[in-house]
Amino acid sequence: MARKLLYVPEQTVPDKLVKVTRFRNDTRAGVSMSADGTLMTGNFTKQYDANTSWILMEGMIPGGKNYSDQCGILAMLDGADTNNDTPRHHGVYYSGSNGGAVWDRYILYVHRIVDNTDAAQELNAGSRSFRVGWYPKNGDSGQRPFEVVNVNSTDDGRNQQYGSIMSIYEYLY
Amino acid sequence: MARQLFNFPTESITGGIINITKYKDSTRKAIAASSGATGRSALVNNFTFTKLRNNADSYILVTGIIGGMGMPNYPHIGMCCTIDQIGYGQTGQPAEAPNHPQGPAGGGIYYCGNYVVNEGTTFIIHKSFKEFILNSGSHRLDIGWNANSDVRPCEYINPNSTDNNRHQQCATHILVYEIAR
Repeated sequence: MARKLLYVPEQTVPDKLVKVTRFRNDTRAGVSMSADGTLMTGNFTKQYDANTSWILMEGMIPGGKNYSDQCGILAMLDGADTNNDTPRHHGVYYSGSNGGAVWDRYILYVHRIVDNTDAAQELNAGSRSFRVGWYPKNGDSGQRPFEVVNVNSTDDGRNQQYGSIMSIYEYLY
Repeated sequence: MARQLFNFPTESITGGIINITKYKDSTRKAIAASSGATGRSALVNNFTFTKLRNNADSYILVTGIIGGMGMPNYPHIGMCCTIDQIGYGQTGQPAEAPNHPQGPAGGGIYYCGNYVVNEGTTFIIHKSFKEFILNSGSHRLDIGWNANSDVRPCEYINPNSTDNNRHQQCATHILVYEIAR
């Protein structure tokens, strides 16, 4: 004979959020030209496999001084399809003023949804890494989104030290 | 023999995020200058999602990014992001939403770029609909602008190598969160 406890519901709706891993980089740096460049990286652990959970990469990188108006900007997890015109170039973009003076500002914003429409290897459980960077479709090695990342008072005496942030959200399907 | 307590729900909410609906669009699209109802859905048009709980239990939060290209000289054009076409203000409100004040469709999306044809324009979306009365069932999301003349915030969204051979195919990514109150 089965009994039920008083006041205990039969089922609860679980929160979709499994975990969040956060990253910061508050160091000003020059951005070198490249045909396969990197602005930010980090390591995290994904708890569930590709069939159980998906990832949102959400973050922002402040830049200074314009350079390439387009350069194949990307946000990816290790295991992503690295061919041209693949999802690692989705959900990430940058724009700003069209000038190379010290006060010219750029915002690079990441809101990439990595789910089962992408490469399954990008969603494997275990030790994982992310990368934000660029890869021009024409292979030109003389590209970069802007010249400086995480600007500070070196760029303009009124500036405070800025920093890049990235959050890796793991959500249940 | 199983027993159940009268008037007790068989399912309850623990809090946090109840549901998430994803929107992805990787198709390059030309953006025409337009006004009124046409502009309101020019960036995201009638994206439907299902809300699982009634208004008393949950609300909607929308976040996302749209990549654009070319920024014609229309710096402020009434960007709007709304659900069920509620609250555009300029031409009144739908009869099915009488409790909502005029204008709450505006905001929650903004964009930045420069006034050059080949340069990028970034749209960031972050809007809470906690004040909207949205019950369970099917709803629609629309994103665009609400202006009284023909304008546009950019010339293309989701640009690709057609626009510049350094470009990869870009894409819009938006999430519709249903969050417990």
